[in-house]
Amino acid sequence: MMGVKSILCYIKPMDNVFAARGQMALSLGFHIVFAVVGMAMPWLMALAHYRLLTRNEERYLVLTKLWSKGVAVFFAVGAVSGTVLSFELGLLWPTFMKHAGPLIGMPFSLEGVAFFLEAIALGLFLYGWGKIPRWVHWGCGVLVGVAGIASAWFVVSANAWMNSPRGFVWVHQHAENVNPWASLCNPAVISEGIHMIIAAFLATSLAIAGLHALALLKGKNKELHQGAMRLALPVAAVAALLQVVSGDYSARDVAHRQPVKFAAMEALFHTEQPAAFVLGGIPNERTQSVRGGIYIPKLLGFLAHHDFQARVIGLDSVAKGERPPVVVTHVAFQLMIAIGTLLAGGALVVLFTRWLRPLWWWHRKFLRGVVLVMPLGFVALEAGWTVTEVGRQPWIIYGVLRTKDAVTPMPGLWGTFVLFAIIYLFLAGMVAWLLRRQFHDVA
Amino acid sequence: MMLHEPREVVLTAFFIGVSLFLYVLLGGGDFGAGILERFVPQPMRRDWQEMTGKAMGPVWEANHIWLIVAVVLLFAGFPMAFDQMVRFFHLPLLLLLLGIVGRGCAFVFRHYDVVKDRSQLYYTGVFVGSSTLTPFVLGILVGSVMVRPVRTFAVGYVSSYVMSWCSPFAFVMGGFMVALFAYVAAVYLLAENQHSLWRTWLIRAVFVSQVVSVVMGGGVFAVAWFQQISPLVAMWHSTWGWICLVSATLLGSVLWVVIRHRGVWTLRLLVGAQLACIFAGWVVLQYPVLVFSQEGTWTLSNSAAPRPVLRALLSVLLLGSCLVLPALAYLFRVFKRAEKSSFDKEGV
Repeated sequence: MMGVKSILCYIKPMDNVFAARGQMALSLGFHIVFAVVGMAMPWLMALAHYRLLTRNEERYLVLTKLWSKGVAVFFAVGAVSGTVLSFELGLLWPTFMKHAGPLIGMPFSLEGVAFFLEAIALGLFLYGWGKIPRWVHWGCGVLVGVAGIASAWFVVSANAWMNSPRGFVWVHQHAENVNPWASLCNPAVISEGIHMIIAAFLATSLAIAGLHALALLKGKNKELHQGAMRLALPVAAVAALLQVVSGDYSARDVAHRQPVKFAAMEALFHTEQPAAFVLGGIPNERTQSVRGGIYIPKLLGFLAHHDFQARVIGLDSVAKGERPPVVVTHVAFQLMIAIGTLLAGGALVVLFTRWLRPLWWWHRKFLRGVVLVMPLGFVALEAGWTVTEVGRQPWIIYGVLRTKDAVTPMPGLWGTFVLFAIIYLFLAGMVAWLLRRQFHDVA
Repeated sequence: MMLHEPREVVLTAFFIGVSLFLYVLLGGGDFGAGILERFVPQPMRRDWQEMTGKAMGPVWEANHIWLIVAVVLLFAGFPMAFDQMVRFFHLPLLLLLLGIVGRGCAFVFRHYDVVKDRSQLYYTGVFVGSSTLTPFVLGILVGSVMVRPVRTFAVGYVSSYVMSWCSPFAFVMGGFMVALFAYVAAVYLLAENQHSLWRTWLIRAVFVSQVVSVVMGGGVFAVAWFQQISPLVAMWHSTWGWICLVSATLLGSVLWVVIRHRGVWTLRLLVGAQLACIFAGWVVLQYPVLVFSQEGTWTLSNSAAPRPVLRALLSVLLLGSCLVLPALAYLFRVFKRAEKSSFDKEGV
């Protein structure tokens, strides 16, 4: 009781804006894990199903059904957490929705269509065994994946709009000359969309490969788990390599469109030409410098604009009140690219061994390696979203509306923040527990 | 009833209405099945869960999307009204979310958990509780939107954020929704189980839930009368309102004539028509108001988004309908037609 009371003393005076941001961040961070699995896992499931239909091996039936269970549970939790988010947009940020609602209505309604198709296809797939023709059944599984990606694209485009708002003129604190189609085709869509989709495949397939590697270390059901890894691990490897290219494109795009965000990501306090890249280090906003860290000269110019002599804009280009939190943005960014680099290296190993030394995959050391990196895709995913959301602050609509001006006037948001934190923690625990029970049943 | 608003506004509002109706028609069955489970005797529970699991399994995810469609259309098409609702109905909306999350997760966890042990009891508890909570809160929201001006000028937490929706009328409406959803679910399940041992129990369930719905419905009118709530008082003078009320009652009676008929679709269509009458009655009374507030009334016309936005939304709806409706029809055709063969493979 005393512990609870003292924790409450810290939480209660929590600023409404901070509580709202925290709750939104928790909801998004929770939802993204399930949404991402819902996007990528159906593809793996359809792949296994394809092998079943063409090779008719028993293990692919078991695998398809096993992976469908995963899809079903993750999809359901993703769907309800997505419902929470669609309400929270309004509940926490009514002023934002008053202005942005009509503008992001387009991507959200398109997302709704895609998600609807996904839910229908999933129902047909999960319950349609033996009830519909075989290849129609398989097609439904594929449709779940296609619709999942489409739905992700549209919802990310809404976020992209927040980062590069288009399709209106901001006059007297509200939007005029609204053009909803322009908001759908904003400049940030392509880089955000591609990066997100690849991330989904990377995180999901790596985690699945890891789970099956863990099962292989236990020794039972070798055929099943080896077949599973042979499907999942190459997908993860290809995704990891593509993500490096996509990441480079995204970084240059952000450097061009949101230079202040880029400066925060790179902890570049002062505009520099040529600009050095800092590896590691903790930024200190008071002293406007980075403690620790290794400086690589001229590299930042190359990363930002593919020009070693380029001028890169620093945080000092805008007033203090318009700068995002540097420490969080920088550390999250460095974490993400560190993981990305590590996984890309691992991908080369995976592809090399798959091609030339396939038996190395079943060595205990290799399997342990896969298990170790298993959660990293998701860590990078969360880190990346932290970068783009925290890096956009203090804006909720970049350059137009500040986050603090968009929050609901209802006081006591610390209460709902704590409530949802408990719920998400509990649900995450439940899913992990269910996975463990499933794992022991099959491993 | 003359429509004064521009075409786009009416069409968008129409689609919101259709989405909400479909949510009640289709999702209502899902919630109702959870409500009814509370009354199933313990030894029959396992069998009930299997039966309803098969009925809801393929379709519940799709059914619940209609709510999201309605919400998206509302915030995109009528942002000013949406703004008021989310500010002042924060607490019931929060409860609604908890109900939706609880129900969805409990249902899926219960079905897919590999080990069937004591945890099943907990899943069931959450499932039944949230299946009852959600319709109740929906009723509160409908009731609040009908009558309660949101307290824009109020000072203090309770005045603004509780009294904006807390009223006897809203609570009675909540009770009505719970009974209504239970009734709808009982009829659907009866239609699908005419040949099974559940028939007798389900007929009793239909009877009890219909009686309770009528009583709660009467309660709604009674409270409205006592509180002098204008829309319902206005109903006594509205032709369309009377037509809806009478039709709904008549259809409810026709149900009993037809209940021995073994066709799956007859019962479904009847209760669907009944729901449509009740829903239409609500729309007649509600139109064109979206939400009342102390600083004025938000109607379709004064809270609508600019025309280009509505037109864009409508084109997406058109595209969406062309894709989704046939797919949905296929889904229902595969799983909801009358079972002829015994070739019935269990799902995953």
